[in-house]
Amino acid sequence: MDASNPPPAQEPLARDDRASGSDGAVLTVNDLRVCFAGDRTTTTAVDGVSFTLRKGRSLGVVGESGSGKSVSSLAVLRLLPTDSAQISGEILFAGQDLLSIGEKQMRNLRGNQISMIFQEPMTSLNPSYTVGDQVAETILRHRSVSKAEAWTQAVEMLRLVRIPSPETRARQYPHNLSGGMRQRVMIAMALACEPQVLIADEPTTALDVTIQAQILDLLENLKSTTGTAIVLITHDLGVVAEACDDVIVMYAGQVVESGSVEQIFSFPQHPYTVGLLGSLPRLDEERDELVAIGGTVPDMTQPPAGCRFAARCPFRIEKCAETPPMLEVNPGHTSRCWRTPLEELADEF
Amino acid sequence: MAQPAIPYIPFSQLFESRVWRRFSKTKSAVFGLVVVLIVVFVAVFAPFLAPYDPAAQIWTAVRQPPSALYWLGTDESGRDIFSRLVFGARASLMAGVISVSIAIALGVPLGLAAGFVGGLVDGVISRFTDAMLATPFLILAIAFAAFLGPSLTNAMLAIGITATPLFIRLTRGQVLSLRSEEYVEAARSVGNPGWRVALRHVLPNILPQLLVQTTITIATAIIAEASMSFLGLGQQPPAPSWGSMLNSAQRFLSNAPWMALWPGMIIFLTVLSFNLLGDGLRDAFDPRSKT
Repeated sequence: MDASNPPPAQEPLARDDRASGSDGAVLTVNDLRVCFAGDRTTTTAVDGVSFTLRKGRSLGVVGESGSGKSVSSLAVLRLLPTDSAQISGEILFAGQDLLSIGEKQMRNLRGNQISMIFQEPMTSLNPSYTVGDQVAETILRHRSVSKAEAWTQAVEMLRLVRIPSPETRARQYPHNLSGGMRQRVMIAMALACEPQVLIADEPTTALDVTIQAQILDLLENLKSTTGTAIVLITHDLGVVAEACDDVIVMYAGQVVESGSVEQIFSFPQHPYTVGLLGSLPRLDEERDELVAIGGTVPDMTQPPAGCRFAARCPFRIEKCAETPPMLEVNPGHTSRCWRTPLEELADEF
Repeated sequence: MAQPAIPYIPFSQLFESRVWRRFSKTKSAVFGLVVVLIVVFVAVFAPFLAPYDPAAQIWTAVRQPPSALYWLGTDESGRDIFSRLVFGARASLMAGVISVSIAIALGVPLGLAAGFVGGLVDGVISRFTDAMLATPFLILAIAFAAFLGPSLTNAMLAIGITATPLFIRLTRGQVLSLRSEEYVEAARSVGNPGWRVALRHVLPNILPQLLVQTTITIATAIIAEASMSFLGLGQQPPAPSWGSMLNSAQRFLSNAPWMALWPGMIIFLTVLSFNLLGDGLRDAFDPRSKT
């Protein structure tokens, strides 16, 4: 996301990223748009999202429900229903655009080069098979190994994700395992073929806080040992602070701010990010009450013209009726706000 | 989740499972299971259980009332009713099992295709299903059987085809509700092709519902077979069938009522038992049930 000199065009980052394909980028998403055609209305769930994922880094995708986080990730794997979702833009992986390759090629990438873990560990494993079978299935699908060899590798994967006595556990069914254990199995499944990209959609949301920390710790470890780049989708800023290197903040289908974790947490430049950080409970400072962001997310069948956050924004000015571009604040730190940098507005707030 | 997922139970754990506990507490369901097992036993071991040849006519003992010699009496040609009921269980059970097997073999793949492929395929299959379900079951089955010609095989075929839409609709509905389950999405996300997701990840998880539907449809099929045999479209004489026994009994209702009584009771009891078993299974598999 390094735009060296932001041009006034709406999507200045797309072109810059395309030029910089060799700086360790594993996955580059350019101007991704996803529309769902309804009977009478069309919902634009993702509107011009661009980001770059670099090798061995983790990218946090933050936003509230309905901001287009999950849809973007499903679009990357092309798992959205083909009859209702219209996808455009570019998803560059290993020199090819994932949106233009055939379904068979795509299937060979899924679970092999790009994998995904889901939010609900309780429901994302098949209740009819042992967990070992499910991990082995992924290995058998992508590697030419015997069943016995796949099983051995599956048990090894379960050991890698720190499941105690993996030989025994592998023969158990999902209902014999706790939520945290199941999420470990999901991670083992996703990492079984050493993918280059792991998309984790709210991997810790359904888990206890203590288990959350263990899972994040596990992901962090695996990232450094296997070099897998991670896209971590979450609405939890605490998780981002703990586990990510870079962050994009999404609002109403658009990226509103992008930068490194330090930049976003120390100098948030979009009023929405400021609002999100303000609504985070903290123990280290005195706060009478948590600040909630007033209003609700706009109706995406008819997104508002101009800045989509304007209706809820305390810094709103007339110019906000025009669509703001991604403006660079610092190298690598961009924000979709006319009033950036926000520090100068401190008196107003 | 549109519907609570049903926990799959490996066979080795069946008798310790919650499903079994709930099932075994339902008296009516256990009664159904016991009767069904008895009928199966009788059908399998018919030659050893029947005291007489079911087709042997004893002209000196025509329309005998129940006695120590002929436990349930004899019919108009002097054939032992008990022996005919025992062998008739074969026709009824076969009609039930084979016709429902045909319905499953046709209906489940079509339902999977409709649910998974969607679009035009779903449209065609679903309209066809709706059209068949709009016609009363027995009328449609009799129409098919009449078209195919009278024989037990054709009756089973006709009943099987008529019961197919029941399985199409059930499978399609279950697929649609399971398709959005995360583990199905997860199966796709590791690179499984659609057919594999359908057969390996969806099908095993709808087996309980299919089992319930199978049990209840067997009851319907037994009634249908009896009705067709009664009309002369099913089992052909002299081979015994509960339905054809009723048919010959109707002419002697006033002077030999036992000829109609026993087959009627047996049909009633068997069909009731299959239905009780099906209801019991449905309640046992349903995690929302109260027991």
